[in-house]
Amino acid sequence: MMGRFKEIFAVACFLIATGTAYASSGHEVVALEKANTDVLDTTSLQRGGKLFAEYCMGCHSMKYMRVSRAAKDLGWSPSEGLTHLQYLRGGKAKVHDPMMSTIDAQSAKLAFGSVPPDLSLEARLKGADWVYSFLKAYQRDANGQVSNAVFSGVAMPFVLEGLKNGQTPEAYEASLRDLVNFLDYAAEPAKVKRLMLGWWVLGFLAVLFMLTYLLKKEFWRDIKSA
Amino acid sequence: MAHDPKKVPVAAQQEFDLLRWVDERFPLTQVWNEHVAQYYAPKNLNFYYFFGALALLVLVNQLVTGIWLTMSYKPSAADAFDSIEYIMRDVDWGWLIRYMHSTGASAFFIVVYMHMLRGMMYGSYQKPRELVWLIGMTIFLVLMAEAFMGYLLPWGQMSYWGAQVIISLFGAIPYVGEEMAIWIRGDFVISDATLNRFFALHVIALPLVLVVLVYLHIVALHKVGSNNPDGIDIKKVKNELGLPKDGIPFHPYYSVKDMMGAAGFMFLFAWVIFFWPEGGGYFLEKPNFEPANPMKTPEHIAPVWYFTPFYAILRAVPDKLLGVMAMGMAIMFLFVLPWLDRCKVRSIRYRGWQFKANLSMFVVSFLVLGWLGTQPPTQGLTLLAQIFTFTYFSFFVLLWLTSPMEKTKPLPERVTL
Repeated sequence: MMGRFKEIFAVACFLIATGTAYASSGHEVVALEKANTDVLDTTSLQRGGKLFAEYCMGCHSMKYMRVSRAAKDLGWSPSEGLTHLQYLRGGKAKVHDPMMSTIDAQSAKLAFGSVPPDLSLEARLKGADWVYSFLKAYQRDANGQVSNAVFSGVAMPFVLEGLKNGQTPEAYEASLRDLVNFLDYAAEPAKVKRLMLGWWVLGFLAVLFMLTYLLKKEFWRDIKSA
Repeated sequence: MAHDPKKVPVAAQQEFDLLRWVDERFPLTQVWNEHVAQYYAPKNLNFYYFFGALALLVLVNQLVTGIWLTMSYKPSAADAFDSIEYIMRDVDWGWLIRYMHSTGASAFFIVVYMHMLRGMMYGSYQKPRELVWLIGMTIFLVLMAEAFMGYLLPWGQMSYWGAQVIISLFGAIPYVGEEMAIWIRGDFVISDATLNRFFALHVIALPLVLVVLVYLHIVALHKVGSNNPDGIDIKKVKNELGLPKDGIPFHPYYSVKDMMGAAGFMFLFAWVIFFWPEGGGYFLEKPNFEPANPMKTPEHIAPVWYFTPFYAILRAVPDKLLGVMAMGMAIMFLFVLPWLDRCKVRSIRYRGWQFKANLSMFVVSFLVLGWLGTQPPTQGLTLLAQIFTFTYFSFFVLLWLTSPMEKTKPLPERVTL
């Protein structure tokens, strides 16, 4: 009995220590707001995709995100995808092309002091919460100075100012969520399929576990009684 | 038509003949019996004994998913990162295969650490299983090299800088260190040449070594027989047929039990793959979603979680060379465990309080060091790392000192269920 107790104790130590390690691992300077995005919300992704094309793609590309793939996952036909996601490039964009911005690196550098990064993987690199908090943190004070508490000294101007001023604060937050939702999707397009398929896989394995448990019990009946 | 028992159906006769045909040329039935159907394992093996079979399962997972990944992966500095995103986006089920492999790496270490903890709790390394333990420790060492080299392949920022930091440790070796580091990298920094050779070692050389070592591990185990949670020898009490009374054939008893364990494991494994593939930034680290940039050092470089206990020991020692030596010693001490432990009783169930306290402290030290290794070093945390490095090593010293004079409990004659 004592032996069992010690074994349980060892496992408890393990769990407590890993739990503590996990709980105290976040060390952000600014507290981030939850993005609360949902890649299974297709209409939100559609709104976010359009916002991205309208407000971000002047400078930022998504070189790993094909128009055709985004269109398929967002419930659009390939030509609709081109219309919504690549209208800046007009007739030059092809369906299977990645979502490319029209700006060239040199003029971007001249205009902003740095080359706007590719945003294909931004939501995975920084986390959706960071992107959401960062976009929300843009502010213009009484003197007309733009600041950002999440990323001080950021080269990117307050691009969403027009969107913010034209909407109620709630609607603006919802727009930001849609936008971040699209970025989150684009960082991992397989996420949509992954989350939907996951439950079926877990269901199958739960049944398999039950069956193997019963099989084991049946075989071991004679051992336990011996 | 009346059934004639003497008349064997033609199909069965052919089957029978085929098996005999093989057996006359290859010891198929003999091997099957010796290692599976008539391999007698103690009947009291508990939860911890799943992890050996699970390690084998994860190894197969890594080998199979690895083969499929190499079909689309490009081992060059220019293409590696892009090819991973190609796998994640354009290859049919590529994302699933890649997550199975990346999560599999973490799962491998979870399973192997549990497997090693089991060995320490029940004294599985003690006589006559010293070679089983030594081969196992060699597997652990090769596995670390395998994981380290595999981690460079996605060619992300953390891949690059993690490798840069670890390879530069060779530079600490006096006289030949710098030359050695250049020889390993094939360049003055981590580069395309390094990526290519790591790829070769990761997909061909080390997997071959691993498979051979796993084979030897099992052969050695089957020669001496499995230990059990009571740590007593089941061969002492035999029945009239000369078979251990507390032993049961591996097949079907443990084959069905391990199937259950495998299904349970796969449930958890699938949960991570489908709902938590980044593992909170521990299985897939955020900075690795940015391509390697030799001109930009990340603010904080940390190896993947399974190396962090040893990394924390390295950083705890102020001198680079001594730090590298301490890190090496942390693993080498595990190798000689069978000779450090001088207690005659194997299982923690019947050992003295010294061993119980000592092993508990070791487990806590290992976990705290693991956490510390993921954190940026501050003065306070470095002090903490030094304290737990001390307690980590004190385990081995105390084990050697206290094991001969432990007040052990009397061992049972038969295993307890």
